[in-house]
Amino acid sequence: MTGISVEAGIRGKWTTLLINGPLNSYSYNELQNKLNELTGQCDIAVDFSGVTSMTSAGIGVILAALEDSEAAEKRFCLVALSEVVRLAIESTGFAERFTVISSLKDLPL
Amino acid sequence: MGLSFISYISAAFMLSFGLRLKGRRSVSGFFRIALIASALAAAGQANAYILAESHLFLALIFARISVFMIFIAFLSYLFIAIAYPDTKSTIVLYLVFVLSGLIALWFCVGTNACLDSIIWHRPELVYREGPFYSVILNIVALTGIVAVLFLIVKAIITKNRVFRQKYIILAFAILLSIAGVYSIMSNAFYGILAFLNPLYPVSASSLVFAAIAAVYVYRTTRIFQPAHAIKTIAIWFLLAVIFAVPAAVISGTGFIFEKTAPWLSGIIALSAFLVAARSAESFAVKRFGAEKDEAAREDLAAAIAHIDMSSGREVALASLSSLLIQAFGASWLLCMTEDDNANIRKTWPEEGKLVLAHDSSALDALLQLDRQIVFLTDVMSDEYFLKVRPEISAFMNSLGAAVLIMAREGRRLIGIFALGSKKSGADYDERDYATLEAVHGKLFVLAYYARHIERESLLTTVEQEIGLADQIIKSVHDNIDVIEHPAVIMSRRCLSSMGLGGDIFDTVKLSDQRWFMVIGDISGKGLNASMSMIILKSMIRTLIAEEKNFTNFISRINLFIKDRLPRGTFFSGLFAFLAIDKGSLYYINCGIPAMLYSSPGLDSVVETQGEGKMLGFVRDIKPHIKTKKLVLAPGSRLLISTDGIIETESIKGERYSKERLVRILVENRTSSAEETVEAVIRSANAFTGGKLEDDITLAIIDYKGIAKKEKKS
Repeated sequence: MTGISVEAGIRGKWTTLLINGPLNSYSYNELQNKLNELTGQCDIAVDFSGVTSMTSAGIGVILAALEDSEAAEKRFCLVALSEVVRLAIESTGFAERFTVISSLKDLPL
Repeated sequence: MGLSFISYISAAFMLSFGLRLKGRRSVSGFFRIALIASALAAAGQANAYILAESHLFLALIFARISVFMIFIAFLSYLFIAIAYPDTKSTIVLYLVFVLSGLIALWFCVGTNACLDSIIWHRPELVYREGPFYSVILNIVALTGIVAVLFLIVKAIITKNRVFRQKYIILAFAILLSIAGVYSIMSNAFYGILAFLNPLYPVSASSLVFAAIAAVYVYRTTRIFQPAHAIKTIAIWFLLAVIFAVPAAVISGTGFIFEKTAPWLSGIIALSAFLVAARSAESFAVKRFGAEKDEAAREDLAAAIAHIDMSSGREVALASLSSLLIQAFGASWLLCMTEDDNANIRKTWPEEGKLVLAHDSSALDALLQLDRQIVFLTDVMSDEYFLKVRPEISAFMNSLGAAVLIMAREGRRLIGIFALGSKKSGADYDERDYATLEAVHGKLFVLAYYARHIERESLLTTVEQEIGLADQIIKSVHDNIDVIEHPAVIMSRRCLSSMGLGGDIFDTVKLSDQRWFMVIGDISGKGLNASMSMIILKSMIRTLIAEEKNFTNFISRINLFIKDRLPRGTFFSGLFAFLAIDKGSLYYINCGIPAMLYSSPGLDSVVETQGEGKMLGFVRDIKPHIKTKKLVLAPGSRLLISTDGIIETESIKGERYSKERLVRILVENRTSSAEETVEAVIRSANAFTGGKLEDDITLAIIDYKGIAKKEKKS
């Protein structure tokens, strides 16, 4: 199975995570570990432009990160959703729960 | 006027509590009467002062009523002292009460024995005492004192610490009220307490002490720790100093503008108050309050979740024991689980001894409760346990347990954890209850684990998790009410990609013609998802017996996922009621991706799932869900599938998709439900090269239809 790569970066007040590869039950651990490490400590933006597919396992990871961030009063947003990721998030019926922006350049201050 | 205002406020306060007291306990009436009479006494006194200037006679009547109501309030406390918590001779007591009340009414209101007349000397109201004023007032005070004596004797006699605390608090509060009323109204202390005379308009308001205590006694079922109460008061005092003093200084400074711009003074005072109140609340919550408790609960829940269950039952339960003993200061923990004959037996630290037979009245009593956590103090003092008190208290006493934590699945008791008394000798309190509620989901998993896992440690390292989950999941999936009805054939398949499944499938028989069904997927993978699935299935079975409204049921499930399962957990699936006689399926789509319907009258397969909203994303799901109805034509077929099959990918990265499911459904029109399920699984396996990435759950329902005659019957 193909794994994912997670690259962390800093953009202003935001910590950015760039994901590449398919986000599914085999690969989500890497993103989950990274998010566990960061969530609640800083504002996080996850860039999905390189995600080739996403299953419910991936949604679970970002929902947990969103709820942890909300609890810690930190910002959490999803960036540059590929079509497959957008469809996966819409399938939950609660796409509006997530803050989505089109590019890292558009991150609020 | 100012003092009358205080009387009105205290009257409103006592009246609201009196009217809101709920319960059918035999002494409930005395509690209500005490509070309402206290309110009327305070209001009557205030009315007398307000009306005295213009309507002297009316003012006199109100003043007499006030004295009468003070007597009724103390009389009620006397009867509470005699009868609380329960008495069998209620009717006799009420008769004596009514008779005494009527006599008092005649003397206090109907004659001038108590108050002869009143005179208005602006701005003062002067009472002319009747010939028996002192006697009546002494009787009023004596009634209260007898009540206090009764309470003290009962406090000494009782072995129940909760009741002892209640009796003492009520006795002390009644004494305060007597002191308030008597010292101001009686002429016995003329000269010594003359300085209290101006407080006459608020003398009846002293009843508020007893009223507050009565509400506490009536409502509380758990003991409070004096040390904790003192600490709380000290904290609030500290907060008042930290935040109220600056607010008062700012408000005071604002009154410089009182003459030139009074509105500005008002705005400054209001702003200072609001800022101080908001800051105090936020400070209190963060430093002392809910947030701190919440963090401790989360830590305990995390510690329980991290118990290494793969090292065997003894080690896991020993770890749990040390965690709970440390968290609650308990003296011991006992684990009991259901055996194959539905008896409850000790599992840890000793194993095997029968504790509750399957047909015992104590087990039946426990199953009647809709609470999972039971404190012995609650059993003894809470009205909720009235009917089952003897059985449950006898059972707990036989164990020496102070707390029971039950793991239930509908009408089945899977396991019980019992906690011994606290080492400190204190009782379990509200915060302990909240903590146990918060970790109950995790304890449920441990109970389920203890029930289903053999004693021996699981040996191999790689297969530890899988082996454990396999045992549990198999037992969960096997435990369903298979639909057995000539009009319906159901075939299903649940496959776990790694031996660990978050998929849930369950059918529950509600009657011969009605079945409940749930099919779906809990997010996450591995052991955690399996555990969440087990807990959710148990909760669904428990709630299905309690909740009659479909959307309320889903709403409660959603809240359970949000509050009790790990953060980020969500459920996608379908909840449905199958009415076989009506040929209807009532369902709520909570994110099931495929619900495909075909019938002899249709050329094509129809997708019927519609838009769904998954559970666990928002707290209030009700506005987002809608019950739908699908009429099942005779000969129709319904295929329901979780996302496992649809999202599974081939080696080329192509998705299986719904289209393939539709195709198989069309190709297998004449095949049986079982054969069609097999065809889907074969197809999915071939598509992925035999390597399934996700859990797969699939069900096919064939509806044959029923004869009109059977429908009518």
